[in-house]
Amino acid sequence: MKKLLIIFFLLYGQLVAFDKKSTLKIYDKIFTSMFSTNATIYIYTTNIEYRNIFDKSFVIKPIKDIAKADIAFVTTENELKNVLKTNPNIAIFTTNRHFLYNCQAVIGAFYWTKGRKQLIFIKNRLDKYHLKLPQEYEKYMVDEL
Amino acid sequence: MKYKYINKYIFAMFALLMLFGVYMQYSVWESTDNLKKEEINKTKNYAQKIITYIKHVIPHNLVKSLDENPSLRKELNGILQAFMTDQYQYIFMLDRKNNKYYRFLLDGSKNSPEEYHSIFFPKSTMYNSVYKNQTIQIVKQKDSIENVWISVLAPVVYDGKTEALLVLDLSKEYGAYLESFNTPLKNLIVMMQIFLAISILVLMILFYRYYKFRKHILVDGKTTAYTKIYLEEYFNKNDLSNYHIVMIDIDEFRTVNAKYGYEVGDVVLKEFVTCIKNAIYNYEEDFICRIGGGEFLVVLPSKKAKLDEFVKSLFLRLKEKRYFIKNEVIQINVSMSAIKVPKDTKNLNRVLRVLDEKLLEIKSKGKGDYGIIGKEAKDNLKYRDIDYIKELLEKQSLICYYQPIFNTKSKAIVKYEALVRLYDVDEKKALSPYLFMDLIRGTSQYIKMSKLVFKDVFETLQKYPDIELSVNLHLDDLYNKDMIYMINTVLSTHKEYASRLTFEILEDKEIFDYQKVTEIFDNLKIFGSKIAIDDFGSGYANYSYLIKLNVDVIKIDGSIIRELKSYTHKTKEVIKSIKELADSFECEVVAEFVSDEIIYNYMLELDIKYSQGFYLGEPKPIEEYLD
Repeated sequence: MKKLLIIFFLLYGQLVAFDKKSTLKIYDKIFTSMFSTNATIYIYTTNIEYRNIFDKSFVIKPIKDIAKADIAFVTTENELKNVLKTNPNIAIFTTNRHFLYNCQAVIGAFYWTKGRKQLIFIKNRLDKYHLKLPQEYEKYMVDEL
Repeated sequence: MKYKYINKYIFAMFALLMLFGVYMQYSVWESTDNLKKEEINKTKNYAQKIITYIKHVIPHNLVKSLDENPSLRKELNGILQAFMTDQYQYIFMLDRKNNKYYRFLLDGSKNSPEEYHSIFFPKSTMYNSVYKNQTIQIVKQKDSIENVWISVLAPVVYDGKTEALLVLDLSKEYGAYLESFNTPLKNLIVMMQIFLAISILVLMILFYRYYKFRKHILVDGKTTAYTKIYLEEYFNKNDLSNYHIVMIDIDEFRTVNAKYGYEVGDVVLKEFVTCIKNAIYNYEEDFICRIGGGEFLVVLPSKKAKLDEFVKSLFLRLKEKRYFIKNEVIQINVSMSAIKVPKDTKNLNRVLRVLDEKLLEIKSKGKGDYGIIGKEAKDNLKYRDIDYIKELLEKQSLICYYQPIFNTKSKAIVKYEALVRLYDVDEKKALSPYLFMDLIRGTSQYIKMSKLVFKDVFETLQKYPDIELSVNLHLDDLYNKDMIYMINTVLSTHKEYASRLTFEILEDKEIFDYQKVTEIFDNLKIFGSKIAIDDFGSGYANYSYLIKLNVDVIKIDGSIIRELKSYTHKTKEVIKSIKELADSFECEVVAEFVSDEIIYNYMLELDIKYSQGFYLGEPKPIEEYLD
């Protein structure tokens, strides 16, 4: 029984690790596409879960100092409010669809709807922050909401 | 693994069992698949019903009506919610204004439904296809889509124009439910497949044991030559007449075993077989069989091998072969017989018997030699078969030839000797007794044949009342009550036959019951018949016969007469002494085998009263002498 429990926890650990790895892969791709640079991309986020994930990346680095960040990553309303308060000019990427619709500083979002992954960028907001996406991301870009 | 040791039916059984297992698996898959297809079709109908209902509520301008009327949106969202059952994960409606992005029009989700006109990026290109082609399509979702098994995409068409797409997402749970619907059947199939797997395993074990057993019975473990069983199986499948067969016997092999022991004997045999294999492996389809302790057969395809050359070279090879055993060099001698199996020969045992006889002949001449059965092979194979002889006797396919016995001086025919021949109707050929006599002697077939001979003799006596006949009487005939009864009956009925009949007693068997034989002969003599000793000087108890039986005629054996040419003086003396003996017993003397004028002249010189032989007259049908 003890052995079975150990095996169960090991397997569970592996699954969690795999999930985190695939999430990081997605964000790595999104942010490197957005900034088109080989240099490290500094991301401001206070979400501990995402910080842990981004920590594993070779291209993006989570930081707590918003002044040094290239982009802010928000998941909750408080985080959004905090960002807008401390640095209203920074581009924001979110995991919440509503922030995309309601906040002009949010340039894109990655979220789930009807069980499907949704990645959306708003063209004029990207332009505002002088951000350009490669051709392959054109299909995720909308002019208006 | 050699195919010779494998039974093809076991392979067929394997294949059948495996096919059965695969078919069972396929049946379950197909059954589950059909169930899913049926459910998907139901969902398609369900989608049509929802669209019909929506069209009923909004007969025209769907998008415009929804844009302008939030309460209508709310009402229809509620209706979609009502359509939601356990099998559906999501039901929603999308539109694609200006061919740009898809946006939500309606959403049947109870919890946090999508906001009206929020953007939706479908990953599948099928959405566009359905929008354009206006046909219902199925999208099998990938694992990246959470909780959705299959999406049914139905176009909502107004006046020939697609205004929206209705999406029904069947839940993964429902897919799993359908998958598990056949679980009892699947479990049963799995159990059957386990049973099948065990059966196949058991079959494989049996197959392996069968393989080992077949190998054991088909291959001689000591020499690696094949066994006689293999030989028989081989010729059940192959035409015997396409082969040469060579029989090899190691002369005095038992002395090797006795002198060096059986282990050494086995080593010698193994080397012996290797030596033969080296000789035959130039040919194809050839092999060697061990049929006895030191007896082997070599089978060669007749198309590829010249028998004479092969036998000679093999004989020399085996003769020259030396075996180094325990610091000693051993040489073994062989005797060999060989045959080119004649066309249409089917019976292997007959071939082996003929080879065996030839081998015996070689051995009787001193061993260490070989002989090839030539033209006589066909006759030997066909006629030296008890079944064939039996068949001829059943058909009464028997004739009597008559050879005249002459008065030596006057050359006048005094009587005829009846000589039996079997008749091959197919080939219109009379068969000499040497081909069949030793096969049937001592069997009921011999008595049957004797009765037919006597029948012919009596008919001839009746047909030609002025001739005398001589007929052979074997001891087997004498000991057979039916036979004697038949002769006595005929002679007592036709007393005139008796005085014209001489019974020649054959000398190839010893008489043990002289009293009984004397009684029979005395009885025949009472009828007026004569008794002759046939082949006098060749067999058993010549003088005993003279002493104990009341004999009238002595027929000097041909083997003695033949010697006149080689050992003239001594043979003459022997014949003179027989004649003197016959004279003293008041017997007549007949010389057999008078085959030419020289011998005939000797008979004249020796004053032998009667002569019989090819020089004077060949055995022929009686009609040829008398008609």
